Amino acid sequence: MEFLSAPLLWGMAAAGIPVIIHLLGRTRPVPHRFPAMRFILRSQKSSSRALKLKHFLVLLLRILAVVGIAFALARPMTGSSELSAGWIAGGILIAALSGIALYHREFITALMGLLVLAGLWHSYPAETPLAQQALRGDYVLVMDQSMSMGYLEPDGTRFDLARRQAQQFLDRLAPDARVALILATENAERVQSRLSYRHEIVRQKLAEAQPTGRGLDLAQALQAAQEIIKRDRSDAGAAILFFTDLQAAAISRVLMKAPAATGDTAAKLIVVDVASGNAKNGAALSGRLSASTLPAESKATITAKVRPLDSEHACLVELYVDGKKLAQKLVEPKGQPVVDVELEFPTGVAGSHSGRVHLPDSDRLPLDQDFHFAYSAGRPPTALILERPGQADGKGSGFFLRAALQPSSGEETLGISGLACVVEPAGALTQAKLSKYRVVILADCGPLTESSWSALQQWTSEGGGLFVWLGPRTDGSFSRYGFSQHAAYNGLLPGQIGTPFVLQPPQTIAVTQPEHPVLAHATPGVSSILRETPVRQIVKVTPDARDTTAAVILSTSDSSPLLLEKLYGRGRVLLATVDPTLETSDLPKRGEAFVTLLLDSVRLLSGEENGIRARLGFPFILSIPSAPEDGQVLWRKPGVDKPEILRVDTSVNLKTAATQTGPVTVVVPAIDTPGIHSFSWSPPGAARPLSKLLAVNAEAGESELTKASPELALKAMSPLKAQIVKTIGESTVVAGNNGGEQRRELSVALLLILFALLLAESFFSNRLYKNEVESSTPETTVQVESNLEPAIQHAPAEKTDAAS
Amino acid sequence: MANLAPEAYLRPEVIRQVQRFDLKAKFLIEGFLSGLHSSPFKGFSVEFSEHRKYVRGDDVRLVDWKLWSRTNRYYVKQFKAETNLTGHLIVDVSASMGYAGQSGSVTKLQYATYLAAAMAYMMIHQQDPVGLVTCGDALRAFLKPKSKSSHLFSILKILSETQPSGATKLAENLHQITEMIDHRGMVMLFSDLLDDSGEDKVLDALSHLRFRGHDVIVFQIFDAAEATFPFQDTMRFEDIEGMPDAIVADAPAIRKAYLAELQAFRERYKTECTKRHIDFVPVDTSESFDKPLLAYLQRRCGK
Repeated sequence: MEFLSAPLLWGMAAAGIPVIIHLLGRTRPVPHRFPAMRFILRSQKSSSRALKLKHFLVLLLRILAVVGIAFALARPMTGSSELSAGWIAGGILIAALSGIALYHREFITALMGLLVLAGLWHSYPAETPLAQQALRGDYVLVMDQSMSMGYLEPDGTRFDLARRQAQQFLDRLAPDARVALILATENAERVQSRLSYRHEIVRQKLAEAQPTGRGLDLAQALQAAQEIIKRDRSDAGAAILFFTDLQAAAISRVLMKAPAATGDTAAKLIVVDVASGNAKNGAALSGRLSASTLPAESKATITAKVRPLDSEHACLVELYVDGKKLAQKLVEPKGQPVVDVELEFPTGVAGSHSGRVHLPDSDRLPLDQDFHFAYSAGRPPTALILERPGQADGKGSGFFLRAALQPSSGEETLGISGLACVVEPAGALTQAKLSKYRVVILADCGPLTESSWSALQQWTSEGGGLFVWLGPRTDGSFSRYGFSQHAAYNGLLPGQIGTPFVLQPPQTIAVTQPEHPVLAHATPGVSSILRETPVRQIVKVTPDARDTTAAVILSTSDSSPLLLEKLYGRGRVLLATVDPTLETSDLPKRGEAFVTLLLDSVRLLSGEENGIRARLGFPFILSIPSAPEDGQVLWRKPGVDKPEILRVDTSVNLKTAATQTGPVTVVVPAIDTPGIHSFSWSPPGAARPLSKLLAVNAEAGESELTKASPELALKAMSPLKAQIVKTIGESTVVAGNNGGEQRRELSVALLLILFALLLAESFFSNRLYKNEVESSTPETTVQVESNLEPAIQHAPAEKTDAAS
Repeated sequence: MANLAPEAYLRPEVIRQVQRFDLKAKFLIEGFLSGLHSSPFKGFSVEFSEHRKYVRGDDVRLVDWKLWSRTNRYYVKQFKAETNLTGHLIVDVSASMGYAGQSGSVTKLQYATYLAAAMAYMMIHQQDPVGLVTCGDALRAFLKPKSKSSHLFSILKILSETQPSGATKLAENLHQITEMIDHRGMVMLFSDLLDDSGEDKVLDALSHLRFRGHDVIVFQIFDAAEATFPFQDTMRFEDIEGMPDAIVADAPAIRKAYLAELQAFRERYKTECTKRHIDFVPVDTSESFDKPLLAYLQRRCGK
């Protein structure tokens, strides 16, 4: 049973009112001194049980009446068989009540009961002509909301066509037909998740729905529809109406998967194809920048894959950066469906930028599939490796590091790390020199001057990444720059640096913080290699537990720190206590582990966040380097002026929330709009908010607009009895009224029965409280005239002389 | 209700009505004159007393036709018989007799006093001595039977000054009274008969009286509220005689059962008294006392 106005069921709470009235209405007994107590005592015994029963009956009738009114106002719907049973039961009840009333000579009550009986008889559910024409049964409407449904056909978008058909279908439904609605993309969003009589809600949801930039998971949508039918069906005659454009991308995705379990529902599937035959669409499918951080005020190139509208004719490809068209190129497809195109553009000033690759005259798809990208322009992606003088050509620390970071020899060539490496003997460092580099690596470089340390400290605090490798030849002056040794430098290095010492026997490496970004991307293989790598000599470093900005990432198996991290201003310092040479450990020999560790460390230091990608329709986790001052991140979506506020979850970022430093993560809800999304936040003490751009692209296949053949489509939906039609009117299943049982609204019958209940209540209460004195007064057998009637009642005080 | 003056209980209108009746013993009265008492109306050894106007209901045999022939008016003859019919008024003065259901109405005791006054007047008027015993939880007052006119006032004075109180121990008191009365006579009991010891005990006591040869008349007096139970609400009934447990009852709901119980109670007494040749006169205070009294006297004298 379902209710058309379910919230009114709360009215049942009013059932307490009769109880309260009953309790309040109980009058306080009036005390009365009385002689004939024995008769009361005997009467009380005999009638108290009947009296209580009558009171309870009256109370019950009143409660039933209130509950029944709320129930009737909630407009319950039920099937014909239940309805008929209810009708007959109600009729019998009223007939019985009328009979009882008649027996007790309550003629008015009996008459009213008979009238109610007549009303029930008159309103007995019958098949009206209108009801016979309307469609009955249970229907689940599945609307394909994928990107291709936004294609502009001559009569509107495909989604509009589907919506129009769905609304016309809703118009034809009988009031007792139940409907559910699913908006299908990669997720099956159950907008109306239960089969319901409230068609107007489904209409409203339909009117609000728009095509998205996402793809379609056909199998999931059909599965959801079947689940709804299976859960809510009470009788035969359910059908799924699937409004789609039958895109090949979606169909092929189903065919590639194993067929989904269909459950035991016998639902019919009517596929309403809303796509015309020849639709084509060009698109920028993907693009690739050399790095996510590009040098400011220089040139960069993006390599894009585009699908021209037509493989025979030239296609214009445009590049927009920050809303300005900076480059364009005419591409000759030469019969190829997908063509690579390179576009060079100026990177602009330092800061965040966004761009897109666009095919201007490609299609009729309002949600055009541009390729969006974002990048940062800033410090050149170069690392400076300072090593001990005279070892540049030997196999010292610098050799191994450069070999890992930049296998090729060219200085300006980007290596595997995305950084160009410059190896120099340690010398004087200045701010001017350091500003050319994003990462500085001190590879057991020997002593540095005081001014060099000062420049390093300044550079690091402004966002530089310092990687210090200690080794057997580490200068003793390094110890001055540990966290507690030199107040002037505010503890640049994470720990008190001691002297080199040999480990006897050699220790293996233990991972202290497996979730740290340096190790987060490491495979289990890398972790196991690290655990088996012997370390023979390290420099003693003692971390200070009080320093909350420092942490040990790796250690030896006897808990001596191997790799430590410290946040320093806007920058970051990593300190390795082992020299990257074969003399101190086997780490350089373990290529995979060493290179992975090194690359991830350098990426972390260079500020390049690897692997953050957002997929349409899915949530993702945004990591920002420091906690916002106000605990919130503003999310600006493309084309939307008002930002959405995201809260930093302090329960997830416990440590950062406590210290107010360090990176925090923010959960971003599912992104539905392709384009550039901007996230901005205000770090503590910052003059202006920081921001991060995120490029979100629709999936390439969704814009293809290639229609699957009906055979393939039927095969994809093969477990169900599918039928593909262009309009619903063609469907014999739906036109055949779908076999559903007629349902009726019970309110009229309920109200009639309630009326009878109220009559019964009045009857019983009347019987209960009726004054029975007159009929029970003892008969007077003697009739004698009296002269004293008025006088005797008021005991006159006048004296009489009769006695005398 | 305030006590009335003793003479207030003698209502002239009633006196006029009752004085035409003679309260005769229905049974043989102890003593040599017992035969005389039942014979005056048969013309033997009776002393003519006076004539009085005929009123409806008088036996036509008593009409003095000679006087009619002279005066063309109907007079009946009144006889003054020698008598030793001793009357005993037993009045229940327990707390239950002080009940007056409606504010301003007479109590049962006052009603009983009216009745007793009338009966006493009748007895004294026919030169029969009449005595008084009041009893509640015990015997209270005892006046020896006398036939002087002033004795009537003594009786009324006691009754008017008595405050009803205590439980009803009628059966016990009746036994005592029975033992106290020397000669057979007429015993008139004015009570509601609501004795906690039960109807059987009271009936036994009445049988005791009858066994001693007394002519017994029982006036069972109920208040109008007792007789009709007119209460409309849920009431807390407390025993007027001090029974500890009060009863909370929905008066309209129990009315029917109550009246049935009351009716059964009265019927029982009626039946049992008839069996014992006791006159049982149920009265309630809602009607003027002269009505049941005259009806009773008419019925009795008609026998």
